[in-house]
Amino acid sequence: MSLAVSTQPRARTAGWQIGLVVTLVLVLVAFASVVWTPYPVQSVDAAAIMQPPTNSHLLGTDGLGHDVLSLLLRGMLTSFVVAAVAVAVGAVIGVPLGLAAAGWGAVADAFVRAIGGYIAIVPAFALAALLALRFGPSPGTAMVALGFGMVPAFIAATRATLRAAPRHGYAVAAQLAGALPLEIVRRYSLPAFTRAIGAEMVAQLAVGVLGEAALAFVGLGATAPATSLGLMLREAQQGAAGQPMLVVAPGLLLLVIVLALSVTSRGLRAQGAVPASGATDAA
Amino acid sequence: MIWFVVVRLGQLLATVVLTALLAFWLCGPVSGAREITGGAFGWLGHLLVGDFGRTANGDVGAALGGALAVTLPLVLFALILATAIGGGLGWAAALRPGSLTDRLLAAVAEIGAAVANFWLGLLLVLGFAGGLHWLPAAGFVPWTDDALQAIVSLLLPALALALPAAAAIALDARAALSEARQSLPVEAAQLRGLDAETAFRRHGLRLALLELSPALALHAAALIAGAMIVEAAFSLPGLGRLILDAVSAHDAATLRAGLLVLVLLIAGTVFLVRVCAGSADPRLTVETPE
Amino acid sequence: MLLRVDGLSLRLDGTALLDDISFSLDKGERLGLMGEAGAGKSLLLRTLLGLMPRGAELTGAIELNGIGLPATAAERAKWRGRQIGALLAHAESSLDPLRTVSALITEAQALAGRAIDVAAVLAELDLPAKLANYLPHDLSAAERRRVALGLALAAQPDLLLADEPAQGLDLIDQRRVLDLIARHCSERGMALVMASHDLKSLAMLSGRIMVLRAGKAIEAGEKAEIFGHPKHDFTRAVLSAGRHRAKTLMRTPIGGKLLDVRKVSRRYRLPDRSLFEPRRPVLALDGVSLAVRAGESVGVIGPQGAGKSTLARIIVGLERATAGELELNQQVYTGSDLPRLLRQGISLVAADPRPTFDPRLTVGQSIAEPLQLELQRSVDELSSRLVEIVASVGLATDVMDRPPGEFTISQLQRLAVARALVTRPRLVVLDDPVAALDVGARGEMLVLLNRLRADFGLSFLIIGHDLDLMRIAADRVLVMDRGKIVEVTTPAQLLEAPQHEVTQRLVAAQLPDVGIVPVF
Repeated sequence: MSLAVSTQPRARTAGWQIGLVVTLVLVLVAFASVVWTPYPVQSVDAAAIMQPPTNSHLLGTDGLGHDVLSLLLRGMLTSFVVAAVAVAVGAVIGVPLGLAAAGWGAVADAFVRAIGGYIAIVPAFALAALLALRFGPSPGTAMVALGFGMVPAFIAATRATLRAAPRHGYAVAAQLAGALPLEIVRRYSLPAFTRAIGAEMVAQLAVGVLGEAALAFVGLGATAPATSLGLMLREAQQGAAGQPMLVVAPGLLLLVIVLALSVTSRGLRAQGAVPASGATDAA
Repeated sequence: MIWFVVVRLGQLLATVVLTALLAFWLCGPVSGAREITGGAFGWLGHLLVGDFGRTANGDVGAALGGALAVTLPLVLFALILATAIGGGLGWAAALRPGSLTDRLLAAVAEIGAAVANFWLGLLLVLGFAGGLHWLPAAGFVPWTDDALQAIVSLLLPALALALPAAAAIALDARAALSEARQSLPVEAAQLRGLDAETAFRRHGLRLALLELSPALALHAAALIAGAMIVEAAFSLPGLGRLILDAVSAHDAATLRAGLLVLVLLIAGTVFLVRVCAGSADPRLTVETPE
Repeated sequence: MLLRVDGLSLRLDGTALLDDISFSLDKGERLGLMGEAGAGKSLLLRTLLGLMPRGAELTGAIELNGIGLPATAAERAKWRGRQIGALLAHAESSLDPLRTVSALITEAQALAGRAIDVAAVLAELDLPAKLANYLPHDLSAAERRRVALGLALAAQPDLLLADEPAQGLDLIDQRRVLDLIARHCSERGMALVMASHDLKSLAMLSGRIMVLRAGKAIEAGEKAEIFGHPKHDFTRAVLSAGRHRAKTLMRTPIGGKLLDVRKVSRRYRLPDRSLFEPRRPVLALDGVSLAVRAGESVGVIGPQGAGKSTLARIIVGLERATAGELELNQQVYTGSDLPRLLRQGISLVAADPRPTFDPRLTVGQSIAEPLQLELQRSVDELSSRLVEIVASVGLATDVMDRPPGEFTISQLQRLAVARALVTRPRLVVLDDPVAALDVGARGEMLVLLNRLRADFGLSFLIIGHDLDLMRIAADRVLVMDRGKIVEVTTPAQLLEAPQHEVTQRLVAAQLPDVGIVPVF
């Protein structure tokens, strides 16, 4: 994922709310798939194998007769769940490390930076392969592998916010006015902190969704009978010559999800900029 | 400056040694009587003399060599493509910050960066090989057999790997370049008599590139990791295939060697990018007499 | 005619940023642009260079040696050529961070077709020759600004456009910069257009003055005319406010010791460049001792980097001294371990009030914040105190419900003073309280501070580098240099018979007064 923060003011601020809405809709639909899909995910329609989109199967069927649309909805659920757990793992490890780095002095800072630097070099693919060797591939190993890969991003986001926060002039003024340290944290550090970490979480969700699909594609994540967008693409690779929809549909959905998440996260980051305080005079 | 290189080299070595130890420990014992004596450090010792171990299928080192003959050219190819395309797009967008071209290119790049490289690979296969029959769909012709065909069979994979990375690079490049174009030093240089383009090239470009280099290092790392996945989409017998086969065959010996090489590849690339950037940064190379 | 401006107007989105400005400048003539912040001085200078904001419409003529301002940026660069040099706002950030000082000077001279002589330029700027091989980040902000000026003058331009050339510099550096510009003007016949809100700099450097307000030229003419017989009411107001007619305070009886600072030192380290390249520690304060007695006002003056602000921060408990101790109201502390409840008795007014007001609170809430330290008072008593305090700084009480963004800097500074006084402290520490204010507002603030001190029986510790400030508001003055106190004197003695070398330099760097001498 790119690390650039948007420098465009107007066009983006309208766009990110669309991103948020699309994301929420997709998440709702994904979770709805637990209780309902057009066809039960496991059921096969032996009479209709490798069908293009028809009235009964809106997106066609795959090589075994599963309804593609149903597979997509369930696969989307896997994407979100695996990504969410991975983000949780990454945050639970990364944020405390970032706090330690910012608060425990130069040695702790150097140590945490070294850890973050090392993890950033090791790809989630490698850890997923290791875990698969020991425990067999599963959504669980994907979650852990992806989560670890997110730790450096959370360390960096936490360190950055904490560095900036207490310097605000009004936090200093509050301290002079006798505010207790805990209150200063609550009023000034906490809101900025939650905003920044929240934005980072959404950004890493996008990374997690892509990562889950990639790992499933190569066989290191969700395996049959589970559904995953990556798994659908893996099966499509084996034989999709007559049915391009089997390749296009999962990938396109993947693209939409990732795009919605990344647009939302950019918007959240831009919103997090501190509003200018003070006088109306031009400097 | 010397210090700088030494420190980075130390980091690289520490990374490799740590990875070797972790890989050895986490992969677990090799089945059968083929295990190396001496534990993790024994294995490291063997590695240093080039002995990667043996498996039922043969020499691990030879297998690695064959795999790298596919992966290394692919990665190199893709890195060059990604940097050229991404840099070019970013440059074009930053020429006139805020213009229609700029916003259009930024939107395209944002979408491009969200595309899964292996999906793009599948689409390319469908399109060029399946539909148009221009290029081979899968498989790899060994270099020794037909060098030209080898290149051809790496073309689509490199493209699939490079395009999403190029989009991500374009976004970062655009940000860094447009900020540099509008910076105070560039404006001041114009006021001293330089025309806008020269002022930017002399007083803005190098700073923008230096600001960009940490991000570039990370993009390169991501690209190498992505190569593992894209190889699967094109059935290329590279490092990715080696690792995946080792997982399904429970081949600890090959797996730990393969993972170590992968991490070494990534760490080495990041090291090169950082050292190149560092050597071009006067703030690191100029010794300030205190 | 070197520069001719005729009916110049600049509009953006319907608002007139500049309105019908006209003047002309011949070789060697010097024009000062006078006005408050936001009047359009910087904008006018940038427009003359062709650096207008995007989308702004320009009408009217700008002619340099008879040739009009071209339309495209490339042609404008040629049009400016070697004739116009510019020193614009934030000049200290305009140096390419990747080039040494020597490389920058060489480039500027080569562009101008002059012979390369880096040492001569550095000597002219009064900078040590060794700086030639330094990178900009190894220089202080003041040194960088002087280098930027040197680069602008390296081409020996016919016209220099300077935007607040001395802003943010201490007295000595300020004098260096203005002297250098004056030398180029007198020795080479360089023309000058200088924008400043500081009357003294304008008086020193200009021959003619143009007064700007909200983008319009209110008045223009010879310096003596404008300063001596201003015609427009606005000009008169600015001039009289800038003349510091504040009188020094009649002394109140001096009581016992309020604050005692005993051999305080503060050592700190800048962040290391890397794990293996540690930076040497900086000794910001070195065994400083002073005492403030009840009812007196102690001034602390010194060049930039002397340690004045660090001392203030330790006294109010924002930082910790690495050696020595302080005593306030019989309570001994070393800085940030100042007991919370004692904060009631001491407060701080910072140089720039804007960052100290939380934009999410109304100013009333911000001012009331320190009252949380007074647990034993009733709500009624506290709210009447609020009303009283706001009235005492000269603002109507209905301003309390407004957010900070709606006030000017001068008003915010008054509110900051109100906040500092709301707990009825005995000691108020003021760190450069008038530096951020317009010249017009400075006089008013000084008058206010003196009055409050008399009315409420306060003691002040005033930090600054403006000798006028010391003259008006301090009973005693301590001179600091490089972390030590080097001289203790009174305001009168300070100006007439400075003893220490640093003091002498500060006094010598003072700019000559404008017109009427203030009454003591």
